[in-house]
Amino acid sequence: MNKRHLILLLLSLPIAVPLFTSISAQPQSTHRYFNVTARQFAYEPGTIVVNQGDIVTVRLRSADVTHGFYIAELGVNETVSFGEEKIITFVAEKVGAFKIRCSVTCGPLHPFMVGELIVEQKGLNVVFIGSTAIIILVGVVSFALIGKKRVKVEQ
Amino acid sequence: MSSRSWSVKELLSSFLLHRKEFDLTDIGFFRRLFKHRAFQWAVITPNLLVFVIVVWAGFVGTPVGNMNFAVVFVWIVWWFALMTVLVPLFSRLWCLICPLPAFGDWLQRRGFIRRAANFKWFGWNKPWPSPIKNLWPVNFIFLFIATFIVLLTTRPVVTGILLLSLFVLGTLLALPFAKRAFCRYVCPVGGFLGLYSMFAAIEIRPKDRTLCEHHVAKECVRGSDTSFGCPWLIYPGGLEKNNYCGLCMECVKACPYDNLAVRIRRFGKDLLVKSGRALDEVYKAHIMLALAVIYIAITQGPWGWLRDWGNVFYKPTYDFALSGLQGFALHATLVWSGALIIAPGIFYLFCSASRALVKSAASIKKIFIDFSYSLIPIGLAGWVGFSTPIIFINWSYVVNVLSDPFGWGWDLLGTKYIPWKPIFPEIVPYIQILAVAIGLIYSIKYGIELSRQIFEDEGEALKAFIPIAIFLMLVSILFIWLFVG
Ligand code: SF4
Ligand SMILES: [Cu+2]
Repeated sequence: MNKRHLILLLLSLPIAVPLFTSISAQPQSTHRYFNVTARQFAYEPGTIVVNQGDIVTVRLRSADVTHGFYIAELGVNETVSFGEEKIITFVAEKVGAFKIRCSVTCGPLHPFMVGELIVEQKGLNVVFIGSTAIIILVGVVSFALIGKKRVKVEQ
Repeated sequence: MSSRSWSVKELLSSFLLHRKEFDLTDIGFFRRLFKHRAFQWAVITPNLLVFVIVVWAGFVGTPVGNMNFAVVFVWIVWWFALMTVLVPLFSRLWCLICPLPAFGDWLQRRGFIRRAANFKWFGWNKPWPSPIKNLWPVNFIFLFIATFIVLLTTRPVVTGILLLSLFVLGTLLALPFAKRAFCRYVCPVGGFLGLYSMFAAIEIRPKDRTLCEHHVAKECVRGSDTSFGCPWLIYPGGLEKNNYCGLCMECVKACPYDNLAVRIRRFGKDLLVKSGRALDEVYKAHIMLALAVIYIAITQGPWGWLRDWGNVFYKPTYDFALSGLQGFALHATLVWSGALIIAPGIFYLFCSASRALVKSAASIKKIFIDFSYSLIPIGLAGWVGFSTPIIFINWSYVVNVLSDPFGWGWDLLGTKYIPWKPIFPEIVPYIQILAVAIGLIYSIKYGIELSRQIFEDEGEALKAFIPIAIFLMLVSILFIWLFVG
């Protein structure tokens, strides 16, 4: 295996992480409840952390105008107006760090209105841990391979 | 002149795999295109038209950013294209079509395309003052503008004001100062384009440098009867790196020997060029790296308070938020100290560690400056990661504003009401991780080469690079954390 192949292999690892994590789980589910307030231009709390397989119920309110609560990867798509209260329930099937986005133009910073749903596996954010491991591996291996051979400096 | 014909396969393999360098002027079509006097005019003019609509929309269009052509075109389309395609592949190709200095050029040249007989430059044609003949003005202008990023990307009128001011400045500075002084020493866009163009896969270089040395007339810089010579205040015959070459092709047109090549080359080649390395240039690298981190956190992170800080007009009604100006002061402090002190400061510590590991005579300043060039690939990767979701998530705003650029309720193309729906949001993090991994590989590759330049001894070079490699990995992990942490 030459250098180029090895690097290609390393680069393909990030794609392997989600594959690996999606087949290896045997979730036992807990029902988790969260009170989330959407406001211009954030969710409070900004980050929700659950375990894979959990049933998640979010009681969503708005502190000002109409906002959305959209998690593409989990098919969650809800909106909430001021004074309203919405109950959203979904199952955290996939592991990963998913963005919660506002789907209703709610003011100037609307495109930046982002929250985060982290679905862990047994209390670990495996996507982050996995990618960090890959990055370290990529770093160390490229150092070793590139450092091994003295390449002529072309100018 | 050699006129080899290249197959598409060869061209692709040169571009993607960098098997060999490849001169585009060997292809008749490109040669004729680049040498055609009307080429630059023909690409600037349509772009200028878009620019007029952008500025117009900024001033008269809806104040809602994501429904206004100005914000959507500049901060979604242009930014994405620039950071993910134009700069990494095509260097400063943007500068070829940039509308900002167009009027300045045309004024100085007293015309749009041709050089008249008995031509004389319009304006004073003065040199730029030497105390500021460096990147510091650009660095500070850029940081100043960067402080207002939240307003810029969300309030169309702020984008309009910025672009119009740059346009006016670009035109006015062309009168007292020679050629593109604005682009070299003022333009905030030019600063980071120049920096990251060092990594790009395209370059203009002399084919035969000795021919240039012996050629007295030097039309590439002085101009000829039919061409103006390099407007960028550089000497193309001695060109070694991309930073200040705007790919305007004026030198290609001027050279009587056709001695300039427009080459496809391997990524990052310029990072190893020793000449012109300086603190002002590498500070740009630190500024851009710090801003990538800060901007990802502000615009794509879950931290509402961070966004509130940057949003100076924000009047919070919540007890946990700071009032507009107080928050903005914190935001400005974060941006300026992050870019000017924290990022370079931490890197400096790693450079000191590197120096402590070996018994070399190299000064810490040299180590700091030279190793800073290894930050360019990972920094660019961070920006690619930052820019990827911008288009994947928000593409619908682009088609919406095409139908209704000013937000006045038009529906020109019937695309006004295409609903917001991200495409492939689930793969975005993996593109980001991949970009960071590729950036890291290039940073390490060039870091090792840089280390070999600084330290004669091979063993020392590798040892001295260890702290830098750790820094590069930490930066990569920071990006990963911001993306999927
Ligand atoms: S330096 Fe700035 S003004 Fe000049 S061509 Fe490039 S982007 Fe345009
Ligand atoms: Cu919202």
